[in-house]
Amino acid sequence: MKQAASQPRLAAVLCLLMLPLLSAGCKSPLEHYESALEISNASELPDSKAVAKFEKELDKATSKAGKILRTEKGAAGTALHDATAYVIPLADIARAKLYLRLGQVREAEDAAWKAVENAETQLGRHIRLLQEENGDWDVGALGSSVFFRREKIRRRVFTLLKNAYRQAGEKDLSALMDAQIGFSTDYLCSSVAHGEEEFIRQVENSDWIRTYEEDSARIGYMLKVTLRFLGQIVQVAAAEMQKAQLQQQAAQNPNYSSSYRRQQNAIDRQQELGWEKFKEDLDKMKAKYEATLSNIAATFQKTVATSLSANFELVGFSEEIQALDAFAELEEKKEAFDDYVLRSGFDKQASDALMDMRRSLDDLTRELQERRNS
Amino acid sequence: MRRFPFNSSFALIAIVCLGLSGCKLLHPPVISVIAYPLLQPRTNSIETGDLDPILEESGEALKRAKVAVVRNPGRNGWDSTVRGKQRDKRKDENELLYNYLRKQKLFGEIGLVDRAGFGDYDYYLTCNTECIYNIELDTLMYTWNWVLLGVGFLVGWPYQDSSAFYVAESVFMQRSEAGTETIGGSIAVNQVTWYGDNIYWRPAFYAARTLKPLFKQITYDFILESGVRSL
Repeated sequence: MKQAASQPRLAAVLCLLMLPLLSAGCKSPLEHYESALEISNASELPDSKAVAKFEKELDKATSKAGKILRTEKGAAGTALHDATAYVIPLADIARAKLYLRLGQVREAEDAAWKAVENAETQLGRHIRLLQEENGDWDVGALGSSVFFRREKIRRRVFTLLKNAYRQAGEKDLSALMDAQIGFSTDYLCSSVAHGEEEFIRQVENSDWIRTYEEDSARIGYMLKVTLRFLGQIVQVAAAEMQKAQLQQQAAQNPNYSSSYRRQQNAIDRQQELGWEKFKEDLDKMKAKYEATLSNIAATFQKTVATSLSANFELVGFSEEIQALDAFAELEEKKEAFDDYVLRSGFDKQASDALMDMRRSLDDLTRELQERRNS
Repeated sequence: MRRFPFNSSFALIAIVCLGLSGCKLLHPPVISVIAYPLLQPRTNSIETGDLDPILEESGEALKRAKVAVVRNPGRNGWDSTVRGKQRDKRKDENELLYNYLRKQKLFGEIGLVDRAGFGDYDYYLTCNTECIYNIELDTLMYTWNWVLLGVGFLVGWPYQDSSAFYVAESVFMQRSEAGTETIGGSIAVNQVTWYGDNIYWRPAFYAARTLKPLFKQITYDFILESGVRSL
């Protein structure tokens, strides 16, 4: 008796002991990253054991983030993609920071450049996944619209290195880092970056609203099907009860058999019709559900195209920029792009035109930079 | 990480209490505005180090420091819209950082300037914050509202969860003979989840209260990385 009573207690204790193990296994990439930061931010310089643990946590963070990024394909993962992708360059920055604390400048530089490279390849990758999903819809131009996210990583990396070079008395490298920081700062504060952030927000907002509306439609459809199914069960049960009643009446009254057969046939026919109606209703509901989904898809494809055009509407240039030669070319290309999108919507040609416009914007940037430098 | 939406019960209690007290403000959006921000549970992932030992040791030095926050030019009127509807109101995060530092009273003087180098300050900081947010339909609550023939939706019963991932990057500058020089920086990330909101109530993703943990981290890094403690 005593042994039986102690069994649930033992199970509870085991569960409690297992909890930390289970929760450790379920840590998100961000949680692994934050665990690593706890080690590197400790007031004492970490020993080799702590460094190994730090590396292990960061490896777990990046591998888990990579796994999520590989599996979360397409529009479903768009809104959360960059939130996960950020962890990878952040882990490199954490490494660079720790190496600098340990005085390993070479390793810190490598980690810093790795962060820049990872930011370039991982952030905004979801836009390219969208492109793969919509084969007929070229969104290559959108890939360039996460510069504001990449620039933040770059500025952090160059700030870290600049600080190290400054302390080491490396004047040239320090000045070079200053130039990089200045470039990133100018970009992050520019109206172009603001326009891009607004644009990418619209893409992501559209994406999660689309997912939300699709989920709502799915739940509504499932609920309707369930209710219809329950209604059909009630109908069948009622018919069966009626049949049982008739059978009972027929057994009690032998003269009733011909009338019973007629009535039973009528019930059977009604049941058959009921099933046919049920299948018909299910087909109708499914068709309606599919039509809702395709409507949602069409609406949101249109939303993205509209926001693309609006992106460049948002960019306001100063009089000095407007006086530059490349600005006239940019204006011309912008007008051609807007006309095309109005006439034909957003397609591959529009995407190419947008990229062309972007190149003109780069030329304009270079012209302004050269003018400033001279 | 997924939690039972307790606030749906809270919302119901709030609605019943308002009804019993004869409150005429039983319009669903009003109830939501009153009840949810007070009751909705929220989580933060960021854990900033303790500033108290630093303040004990070098609080006097910090009081001598003149610190300015540099605005992001052109940030005003940068609210987010989707299909013509305004989704988020957004102020320049540097103005919010300035207000935060002013309330903390850590430094002798706090200013808000348009460019680094303006004014008579020892240090300049500027930050750039971004939030990637997402909403998730709470299938159970959404279905329940459906089963109630839409009554749940009308009374503002919560049926979605919102989460946001924040990245705040900042740069610290110091006045030098040549002008201003970058002396350090910080990058802070925070994952925030709000359990239970709906069409009547939506988290303010860029509100000062929401960005506060990030500002705390930026301030912590600034005090540690800059020479402000040895002034």
